Amino acid sequence: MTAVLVPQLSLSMEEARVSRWLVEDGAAVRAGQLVVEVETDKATVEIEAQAAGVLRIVAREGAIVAVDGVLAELEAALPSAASQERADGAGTAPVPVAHAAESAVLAPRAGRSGPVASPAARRVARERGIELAAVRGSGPGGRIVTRDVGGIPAEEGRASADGDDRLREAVVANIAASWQQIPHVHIGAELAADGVMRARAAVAPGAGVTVTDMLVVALARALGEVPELNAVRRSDGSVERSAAVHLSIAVATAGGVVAPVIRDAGSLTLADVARVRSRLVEAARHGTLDGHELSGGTCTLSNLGAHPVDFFAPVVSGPQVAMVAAGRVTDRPVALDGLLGIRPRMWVNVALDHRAADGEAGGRLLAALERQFTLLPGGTA
Amino acid sequence: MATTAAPITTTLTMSEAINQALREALDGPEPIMIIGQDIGPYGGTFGVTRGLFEDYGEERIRDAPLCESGTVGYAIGLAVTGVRAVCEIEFFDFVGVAMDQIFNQAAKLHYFTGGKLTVPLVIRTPIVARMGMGPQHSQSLESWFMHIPGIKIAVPSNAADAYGLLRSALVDQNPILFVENVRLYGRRGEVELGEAIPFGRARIAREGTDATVVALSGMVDEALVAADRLAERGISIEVIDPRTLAPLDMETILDSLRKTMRLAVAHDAHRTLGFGAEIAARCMEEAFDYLDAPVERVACLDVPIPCTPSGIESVYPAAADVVAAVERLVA
Amino acid sequence: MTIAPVPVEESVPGPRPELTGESLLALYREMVRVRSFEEEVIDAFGKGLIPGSTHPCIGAEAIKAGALSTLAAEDLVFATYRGHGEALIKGVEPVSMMAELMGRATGLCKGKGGSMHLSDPSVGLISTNAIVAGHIPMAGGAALSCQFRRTGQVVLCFFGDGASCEGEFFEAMNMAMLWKVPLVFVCENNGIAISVPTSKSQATPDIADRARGFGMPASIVDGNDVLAVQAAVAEGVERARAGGGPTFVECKTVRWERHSAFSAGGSDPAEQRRAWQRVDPIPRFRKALLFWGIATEAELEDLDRGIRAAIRSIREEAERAPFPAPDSIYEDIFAP
Repeated sequence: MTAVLVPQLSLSMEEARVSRWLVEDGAAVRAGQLVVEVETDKATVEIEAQAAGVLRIVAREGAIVAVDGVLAELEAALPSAASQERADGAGTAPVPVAHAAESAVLAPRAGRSGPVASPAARRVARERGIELAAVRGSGPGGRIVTRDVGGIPAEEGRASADGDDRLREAVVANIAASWQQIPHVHIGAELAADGVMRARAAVAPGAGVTVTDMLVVALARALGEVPELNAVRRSDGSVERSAAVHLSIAVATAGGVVAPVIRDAGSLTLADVARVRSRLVEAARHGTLDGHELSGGTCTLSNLGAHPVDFFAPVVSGPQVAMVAAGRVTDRPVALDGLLGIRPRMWVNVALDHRAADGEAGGRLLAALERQFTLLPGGTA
Repeated sequence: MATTAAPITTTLTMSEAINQALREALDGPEPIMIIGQDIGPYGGTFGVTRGLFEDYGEERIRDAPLCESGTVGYAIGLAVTGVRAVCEIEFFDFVGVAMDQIFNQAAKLHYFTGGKLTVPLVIRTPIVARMGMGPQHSQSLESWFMHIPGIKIAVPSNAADAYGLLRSALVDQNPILFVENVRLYGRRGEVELGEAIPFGRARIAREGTDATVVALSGMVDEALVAADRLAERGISIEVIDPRTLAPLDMETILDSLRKTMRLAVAHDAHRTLGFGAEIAARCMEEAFDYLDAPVERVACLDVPIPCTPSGIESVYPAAADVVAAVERLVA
Repeated sequence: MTIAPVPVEESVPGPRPELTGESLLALYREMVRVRSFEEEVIDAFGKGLIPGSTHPCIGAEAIKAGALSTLAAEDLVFATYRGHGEALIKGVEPVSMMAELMGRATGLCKGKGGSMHLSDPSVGLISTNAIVAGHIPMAGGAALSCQFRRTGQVVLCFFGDGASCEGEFFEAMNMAMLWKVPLVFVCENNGIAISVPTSKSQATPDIADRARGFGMPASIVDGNDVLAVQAAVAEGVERARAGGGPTFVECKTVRWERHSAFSAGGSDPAEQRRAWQRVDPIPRFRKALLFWGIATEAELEDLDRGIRAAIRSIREEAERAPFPAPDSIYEDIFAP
């Protein structure tokens, strides 16, 4: 006898409300068949039966059930072929094979949803805040193994060269998965960058504050106004918004791009951001970032403005929902009150996971960002 | 050779190393008798006790009649009354005949007498695997004894370990099963004379990063050959030789597993309930979150061991099987 | 040839032996002590104070007392799980022995061995053993050890007719005779092994013949005649001490009504009880002592009463002993 349980769909989830049963009480269901709809505070989710059997409803529509609580029980309709074999097995001669067959690898299990991952990979992913659903497994039968989640973190003492390779592999794997799975929509605009230039002029020489830092501050605050883009998408499709903005910033290193996270960027001053960003970039370039610094981002900023890049369309970094790409600040002719003027302008592109957000949100973010540029400090802290 | 104060390093075969350790004990002050079939003038079926009879005499180097049970029983009687006993069982397969004396008597006497009796008994016996002697003369049965609390087990894979572990065994107050290996008797190695190796300390035979292979007895060499082959493909394995199964140095194995996250066990014993089964269970219990793949077992097939050469080849594991297991681990 | 124990009422004491009154009374005292202890044990078992099972040697006291009276303090003894008599007579402290049967921490073996696994090397009782015939090769090895170390010690090994069918028994005898070890095999043939009478398990009725097959000097005695046992075993001990090798003494006796305190009786427990009581060695020896004027009826009764009282207080003291701490199960698996 197995059961249909309430899955843990997000870390903060404690219970769900049974919204609608999709099958009747006593119906025979297949393994994998969707049987019930439940509502959490974030989303409505359909849950499948893990095994075939006769469904006995335990929680009626409208009931509130805690995570791991029983929604229904599944009675085995007939003994499965496997259990029949076991019953017969006593007299069967064991097959003398030197190792277990590959077919013993489990297919991904539904219900308590999660991909197949080795215990070690689960631990590393947990420690790094990597969402297993976004990772493609390269192990046997598609099992996610530690190399898929960045290998063993540096503090466990492995040679850093190996660690770098594995990190790169994980990044590449994530990019590939994101490219393949995420339907992108790009919302771009040429924003007024006057505020950015003013803030730059106000920075004391040697203070180490860069345009990237300004973008971090402005974007973090802008995301406060468009919270649906400060979010990650779960494998079941629900979108979990984050209260705080943990901004990943793309850093180019000799080994490839990495994205360390500036935690709670929305509460930091420009000087704070500069300090944190500087340390993270340094660590990234030396390959000494640890797992915690690479995980938990809720949105990514990629600034190619140091190069003659006006506009680019990045790949969203799954499971995040949005990535903001900034080009260089450059003086451009603009129309001001009917007259021609020269103003500093910056192209910004908001790339979105269209499953989780609409273009309209991208537009709102661009507007908020442009406004935040004007609010950048004219003097530093 | 008399015992020396300063360590001397010399090259010996495993057989010579065992012989040397026995001599050192015979030269010592403690009364000791070596007893078993054919160990006297014949020097032992595999020549390990060669020369002892001539040098130490028939009272101390005593051929016993062909009765393993009675012989081990007599050895226990000697041990509990102040004479250290070293009993040779000619082939590991013959332990069955002496089973009650080993697992019910020797292993338990100290315990059920509340510590009143001690049993300083070493039972030496070789694994005679891969020699084509057939099902009753080919088995590795060490896991049977891991199951019994009260008996220590040593499984040396080289001359130095054989010497060092036997030296420890010969001053231990407990019953010890000392598992030798006919295929390894002739292997030469550097032996540091005068040095005892404590039980419960594994040896890292080769360091590596991608997978751990825990190998016993004859499979240690096979694992090292596999390591070379794997290295050519860029896979680095760590080979651990536990050396003693009771007490077992699980910490060294677990430390390695936490480093590599992949583990295979290789032994000549049958797969089912061989030593590998215990290691797999403990890895799962004590380091579940460090397993990147299931524990692999490279073992003798679960069939009685045939005589024919092609049968032996197919039944026993070899370096190629270790390679294949590691490849599955890193897949 | 078959010898059987003579029933008490038919027994006729021979001439007074050339032994001191003191040594004769000592034999009697030991038999009564063992009988009292075993009766106390059976009672305690019935009250749930003794875990597992226990195998009283009631009816066989003459074999234990007679054989053990020939030993010096430094000689060694091995016995079966029916070994309380050997342990007591060899000199094991009785309170610790009773406490051991009751599984107490202050028991002889810290409560770890119980009734079937007694050991006190300090008085020469090496081991009683729960595997039939398991101890016999060990006894041989102990005797070999005494020979090897040239200590002059002798080993007695007690066992029953059941053990005489085990392979290890034959192996041990062969080696004992081969190496001429200082060992006396004392075989208690009580005609039955748990439920199977020797008529159904032995190809020949006399176990001593098996020893003769190895060329070993062997004798058969009425096991319920304590002096006959003593004489036969003494001869073996003397031979052993002189380096003449092992001796086999088969003592015919009748078993107590059950195999163990735990077993149900056979088909006719009342008849089985009558059978051993008919040939009970204690009243038989008492009859002889009275006949020889070694003691009066009253003196013997006093002796009996005194011993029973002493055993009773031993049992009571043992009952008050503490149980072992739970963690003690992990102790003594290995010697340091």
